[in-house]
Amino acid sequence: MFIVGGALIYLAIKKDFEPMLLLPIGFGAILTNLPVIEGIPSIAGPEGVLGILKSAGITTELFPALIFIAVGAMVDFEPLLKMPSMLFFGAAAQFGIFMTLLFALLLGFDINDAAAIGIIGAADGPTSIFVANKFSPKYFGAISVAAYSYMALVPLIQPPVIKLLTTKKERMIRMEYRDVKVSKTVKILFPILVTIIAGIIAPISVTLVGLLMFGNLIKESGVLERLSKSAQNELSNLVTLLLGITIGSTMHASEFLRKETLMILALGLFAFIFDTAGGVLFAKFLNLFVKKKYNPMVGAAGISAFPMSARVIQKLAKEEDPTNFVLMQAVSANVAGQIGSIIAGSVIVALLSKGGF
Amino acid sequence: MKDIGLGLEMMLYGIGTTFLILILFYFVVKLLVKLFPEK
Repeated sequence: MFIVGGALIYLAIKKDFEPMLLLPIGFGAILTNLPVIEGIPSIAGPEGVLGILKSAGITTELFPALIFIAVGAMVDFEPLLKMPSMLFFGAAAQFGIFMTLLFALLLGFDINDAAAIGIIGAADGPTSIFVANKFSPKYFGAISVAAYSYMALVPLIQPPVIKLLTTKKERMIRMEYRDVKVSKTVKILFPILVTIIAGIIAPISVTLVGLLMFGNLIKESGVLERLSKSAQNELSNLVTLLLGITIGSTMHASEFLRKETLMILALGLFAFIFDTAGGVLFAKFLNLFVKKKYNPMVGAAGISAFPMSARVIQKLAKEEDPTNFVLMQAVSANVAGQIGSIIAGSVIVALLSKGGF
Repeated sequence: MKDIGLGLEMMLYGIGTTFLILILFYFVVKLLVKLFPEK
């Protein structure tokens, strides 16, 4: 496990792969696997610092919940409010979650583990942590590492999938962009109404959606600048710091070094590939019916990895036609993906929580 | 194989509900922008 921890630290420092998470996770993995001397509590044991952090922040789901407030304060829904049709891509690009769930079942995982593995496809760390902790504590470390690692690999994963599923002509499609002005009232009412609707349809989503929208409301209200900045900076940094090292502390060799970990890592990659494919194919499907065609690449930005995915799409569009500008549309789809991933995560939690499912 | 059935059911409900909620959000945004336009 020292090698695994060291590899994560290397990826964080040398390759700049999600360093804020992978470095603390890597170091946490080293800490938790240090030999334990009899009579002295292990750092990751129930009485150790990391054990206490795990009980307080992960088992209770406090850390991911707090991260959602921070993310909400950082996210700007304006591009989405200008182009609400991009919300459809935010739903379509969650396809990978459910395909991966099926494949995980075929590989022999039970329904709870399969759902938690599938949620890697949400491309959203806190949602993965939330679901994995609830339904698959034994694979928590592997799922968290996969979720964060693949998010960093979006620029490598998405382009080949997109190129495989689209023609050059499709990648060159220009999309109209109308710079509609969105009023402050809309920006304030949006998080409130989304919380109410999501809360009524899927009450279990309140923790995820509600806190994300709370953070956003703080920002959009315009009267809580100090709190908004605290959520974006101090809260986000502090919780990320503790979250990373606590995730690392769950990676004990006896639980991490097994063939299932490799399967989870492979399934995570599979999830991102199918997310991308879902978004692209849905855009192509819509193009069969609409006059103003969508550039299918924009569909792939419907994953939650913000803003990486939008940047990847713009880069690809520019490669085909240096004068084609689809960044705003891709950003809108990307923001929609942030909402879509949380909704999909909440739906999975709701379905599994009912027991039958 | 029983779990595969469950998985398929979950996929159907999962994708369906996610789409349904996001479609609702689409109409909410459309309505909000219409009711409260930028002056």
